[in-house]
Amino acid sequence: MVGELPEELLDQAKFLLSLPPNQANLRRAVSAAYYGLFHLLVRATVLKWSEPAHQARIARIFEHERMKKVSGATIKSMGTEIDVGDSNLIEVISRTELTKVAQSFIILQQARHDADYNLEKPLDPADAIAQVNRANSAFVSWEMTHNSEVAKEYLFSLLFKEKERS
Amino acid sequence: MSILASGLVQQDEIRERVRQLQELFVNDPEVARIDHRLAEDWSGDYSLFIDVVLKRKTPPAATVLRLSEQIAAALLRVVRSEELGLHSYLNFVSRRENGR
Repeated sequence: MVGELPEELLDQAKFLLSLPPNQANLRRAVSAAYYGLFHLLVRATVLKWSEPAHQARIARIFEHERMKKVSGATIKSMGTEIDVGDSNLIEVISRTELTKVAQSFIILQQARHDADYNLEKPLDPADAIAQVNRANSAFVSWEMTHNSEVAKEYLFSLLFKEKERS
Repeated sequence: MSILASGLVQQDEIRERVRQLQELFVNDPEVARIDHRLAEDWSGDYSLFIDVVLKRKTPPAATVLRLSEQIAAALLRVVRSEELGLHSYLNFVSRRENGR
């Protein structure tokens, strides 16, 4: 259903940065970068269901604000739970990379909102480069952590409300 | 502790953590300074906004990428705003746009 949409959006963001840095290109690049990461997480979740009809319905459940709150709660819990002395290296890496994904999601969500709606000041080309790179790095981090238990728990929480920040 | 006093203590703690973040990059040749402000984000959540003011008008992409990775990591390690119930946002501002 989602197919390669996440990667296509990220590629689109990079392509837009290669064009003349006018406001339209910069703003669309940031927006595409955010939606690339958004759809990466949506796809990872819906693929847990084998029935395509269910996948489409589940994909519509995702809410941006709830995903932000869950990402914040994840950063908070990872920060207190990471203990190199008590964990094996793979687990530490999984938690560290998941924290990066959650942080990137939060930052990109606000950047996308500014890119699409905040016309009070021009979008700085350096900021657009940073945001697209953030999405790219998040894709890499997700690849490193997506099979971990903490990542599966994160995806589950994105769908359901039990892990929002109070 | 009252809500007002709690809020003031939190602001002091945030300022101290941001000061530690600023110290990490005070000698970076590409960074003019790091500003911060507390404001509502797009959904109305009280949040910490970090603006990295760059020295160059058009910094190389490699410079932006390096700083973006390093400062994002420092936000998680040093500022830890989520502990205080705040989301952190990171933006880059070229010197020309900022006008300073």
